[in-house]
Amino acid sequence: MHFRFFDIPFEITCDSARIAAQVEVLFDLFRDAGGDEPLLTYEIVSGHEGFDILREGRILEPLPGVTDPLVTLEEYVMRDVIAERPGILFIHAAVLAKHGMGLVLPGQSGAGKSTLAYALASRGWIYYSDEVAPIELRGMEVLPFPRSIKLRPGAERIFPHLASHFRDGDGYRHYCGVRKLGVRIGESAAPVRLLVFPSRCAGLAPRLAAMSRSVAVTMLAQCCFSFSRDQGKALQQIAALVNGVQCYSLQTGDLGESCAIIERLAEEAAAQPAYG
Amino acid sequence: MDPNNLRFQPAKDVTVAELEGEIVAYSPKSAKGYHLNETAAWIWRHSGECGGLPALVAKMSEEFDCDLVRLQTDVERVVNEMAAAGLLVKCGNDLAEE
Repeated sequence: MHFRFFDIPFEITCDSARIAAQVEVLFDLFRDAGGDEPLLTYEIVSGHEGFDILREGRILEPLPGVTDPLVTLEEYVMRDVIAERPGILFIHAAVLAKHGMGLVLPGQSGAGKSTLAYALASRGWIYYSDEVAPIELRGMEVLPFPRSIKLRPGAERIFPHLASHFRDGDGYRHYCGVRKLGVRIGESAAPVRLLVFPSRCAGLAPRLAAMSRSVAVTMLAQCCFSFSRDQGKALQQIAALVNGVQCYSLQTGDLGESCAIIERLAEEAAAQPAYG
Repeated sequence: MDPNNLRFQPAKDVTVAELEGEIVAYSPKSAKGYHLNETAAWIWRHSGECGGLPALVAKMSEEFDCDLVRLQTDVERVVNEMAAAGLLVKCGNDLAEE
């Protein structure tokens, strides 16, 4: 299977048809005809204790506490992509666009990024990613990274119509191909205008609060995949990004109300001139 | 050793970004980013210029026109927190030994 991430050709092979099918779903929108020589080749090989993942024929260290081969594969592929594209700042964030501007929802795992991203995409927002915000530093524009959406067990209670997408023969499947979800998918870069840090607070009323830029930089640094590449440079890049955007924290509770808050915010931002 | 005689300076390996008078500092020692508000940023910047905590407090008292006694306690606490986070390092030795 051939894929292309930010114009970098990869080849991924797998000796298990089931895992291969899952890889296809995970990177569905990154499929490539495979005309170019791949920069890197990955193999997923079944073993008696699970799976080994090889890059260029060498076995990769398993990630601590991770048993899902797809999570390990994605982590290593992203590390390669980050290393190959120094002009892009990679943030752990969901991304959507509306009114021609990018909304970035940064957060650690469990903050509710994917749930909010899917909920907004269902309301007409253009889906860019539920996990990675690749920000091109020249124009501070966010690029689409529409890997399959990953929702946690229990998401079908919030989105009952998705239940069939998250079940397969051997139980819960985390990834759901975006194409099947019927949402609009981002195809071009969007200028970043809003940074909203969600935090999941079940049972509480959603609450939006303006955030100072220095606090936003501190929090964004914790969500920055590129930080390990060059801390000093990444911090300056994050500061430059934050200088041109509006920053907020959003305590999410009721999902519909949280979406409505973000939509009001986006309408206000769209009515104002961009700054930075 | 009298803690008042200790001198601190910004750690050289700390990476900073300044925004609107505040500082975001990343310490490789603790592998964490810290948000320093305007007052903490002032302390971090000036810690290396003064001859110890009393001089830093005196300078700050002049600059911000605030009570010296209360300031002493607050600055000492902030300096100790920054040192624990790896944002400041001891450059001194006890001044009495100089």
